[in-house]
Amino acid sequence: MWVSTTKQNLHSQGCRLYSILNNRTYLCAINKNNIHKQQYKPLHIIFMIDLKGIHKTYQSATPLHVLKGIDLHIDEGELVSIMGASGSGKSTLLNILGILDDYDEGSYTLAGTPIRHLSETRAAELRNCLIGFVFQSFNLIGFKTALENVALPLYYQGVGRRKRNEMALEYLDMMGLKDWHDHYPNEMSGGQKQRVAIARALIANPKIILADEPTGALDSKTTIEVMELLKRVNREQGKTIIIVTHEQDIAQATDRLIHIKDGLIDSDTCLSIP
Amino acid sequence: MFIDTLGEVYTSMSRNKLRICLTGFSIAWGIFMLIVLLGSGNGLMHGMNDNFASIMDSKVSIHPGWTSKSEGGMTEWRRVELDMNDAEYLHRRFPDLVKKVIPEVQQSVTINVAQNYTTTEFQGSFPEHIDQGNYTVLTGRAINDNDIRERRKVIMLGTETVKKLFPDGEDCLGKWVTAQGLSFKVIGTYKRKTAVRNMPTIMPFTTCATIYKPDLKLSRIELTTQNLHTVEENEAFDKALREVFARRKHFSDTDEQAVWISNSYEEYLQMQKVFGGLQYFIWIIGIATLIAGVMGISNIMLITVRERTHEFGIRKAIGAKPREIIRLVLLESIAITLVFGYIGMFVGIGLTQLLNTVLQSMSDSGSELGMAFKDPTVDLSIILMATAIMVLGGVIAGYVPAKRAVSIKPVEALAEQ
Repeated sequence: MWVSTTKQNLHSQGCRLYSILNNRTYLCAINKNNIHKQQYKPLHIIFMIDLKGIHKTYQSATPLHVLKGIDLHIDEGELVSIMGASGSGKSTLLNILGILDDYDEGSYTLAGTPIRHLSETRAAELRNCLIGFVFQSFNLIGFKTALENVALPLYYQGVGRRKRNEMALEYLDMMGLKDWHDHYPNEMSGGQKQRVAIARALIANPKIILADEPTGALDSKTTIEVMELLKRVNREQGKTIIIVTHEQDIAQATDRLIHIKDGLIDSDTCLSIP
Repeated sequence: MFIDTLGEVYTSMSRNKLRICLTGFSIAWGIFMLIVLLGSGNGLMHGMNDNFASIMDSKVSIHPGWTSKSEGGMTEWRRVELDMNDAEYLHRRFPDLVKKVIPEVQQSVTINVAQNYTTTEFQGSFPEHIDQGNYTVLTGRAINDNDIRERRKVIMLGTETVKKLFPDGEDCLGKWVTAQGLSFKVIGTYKRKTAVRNMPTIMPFTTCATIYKPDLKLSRIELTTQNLHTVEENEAFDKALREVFARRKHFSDTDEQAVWISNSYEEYLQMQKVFGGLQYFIWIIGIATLIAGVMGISNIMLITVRERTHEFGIRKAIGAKPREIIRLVLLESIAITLVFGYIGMFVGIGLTQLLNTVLQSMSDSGSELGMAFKDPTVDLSIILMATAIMVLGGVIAGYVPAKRAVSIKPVEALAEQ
């Protein structure tokens, strides 16, 4: 279990104090401005992500045991990176976290909602309101404009056209792409496309952002831009962000690095403590 | 939201115009065939209805015959004669069921105008007969009550007879026609709605009876019936009629040949059955053609769904529920069938309307085809029915592809490129 204790770190973590008492995590929320008052008010905190003993086997002629008991807790507002060699199970883990795939054993709770044997409809609902996805290949819909792509999650929430287009424009503006709203993905650069994808991931105001190799298809300059953007989203909006990557630089830019090896968590380090 | 989905459907369809048009053609063709076939069926039915207008009006006609069985000490093969007394008796005997009794006398004659000879049947008729029968006055006038009262020697010629007597196409009205020494003035011409060859020459009943049938032996009695609504009632009436004549003319009431009774109601029902069968047949052919079209749409939707697997994966990842994916696929499938179905329908309706116009002009010029085939159009109920079938077809065509679209797990769909 990873615990941040120092005041500095507390500050950098958006004023949150974590402590462990009787094997339970308590949160003392302290306002940034009156941190000196030390209002300790123990609450039962629900982890944003709570994985216990997750197993996943791909059934085929030779069954492939990919995840062999993953225990992982991620709190609200964390910026986490997951690394691992190909075949280590990191993508499978991300799919399970994103409710895109089911797991065989263990338990997974996302923002207090147990995720197990969900109907496809319920899963879609939860994905829509809890999770924002950022993919390596952007996964924008080619025949829709940037605006329409960004607005799509709201469409599936039943938000009216005018409202969702307004919001989409706002989010595109946030990404510095307001002038590109009526462009199609194939008219945009990789960095622009990824920023559109990030806008789409954010628009439904999800609890967590799952980014699968978000910079994998980008050059080094745009990689830095996109990472800065993700960090800004984490800092300013307090979004929990989980980034799967195989680039050390990217991992170093996050606050916490989780290494996966052969279907198990190999190491879990806090990077933001100096 | 629905408008948005339609927008999505439109976008998807406009991305594959050629492919969809080629597939849609089969649906358009199916509906076109259905409309044209049903229209033709209707045309045939309307034509028949018109031609047998007299039959449709529930009529019973009675012809004299020969006895085929001995009865009451008398031998078979006696001639049974009908006369005016019989006609009047029928009216008295069945006051509720018989609306009108129309006696008829006939005589075969050879007539000529100058050197143009032809044989025809003189038919002594009453004005009502001409009103109710299947005659249409073309020129001049019909027989009227004065003709009857004064026993005028006037005749109405059928178009066929006119052609033979006046081959040069001159106006025949007011001309005199000679029939074995007697002269008759032509007062009018008529055509028969029925495409029947023999067209009698019509003259006042009294004239015909006086000259040719002084004994008033009728060639036919026609009854217009009322209050007979079922086959059973009509059969009972026919039986009662036969019994009446059996008693009056002393023949066995099981003797079918002594008087010939033909009731149009049964023919009418039979015809209805034939047309009912024809309609079923047409629907079956039409729907079979449509099924082929629906298969095509289903096929193309499967391809579309396959191509869009990745896109559907993205949609699922960002929160599209299965039913939204299903709706997208089904609506596209329905849209294709409806768009092309209506194209086929409008072309089909256009053709039947055109045919109608052509037939009408043919009918006006006296062509027989124009008379046998009338108003080959479909009515609104068929259009609504066809629309329902198209929507159903679209749902059927889209069902399997839609199922396939949602059956793929989001992870697999996203992995697909």
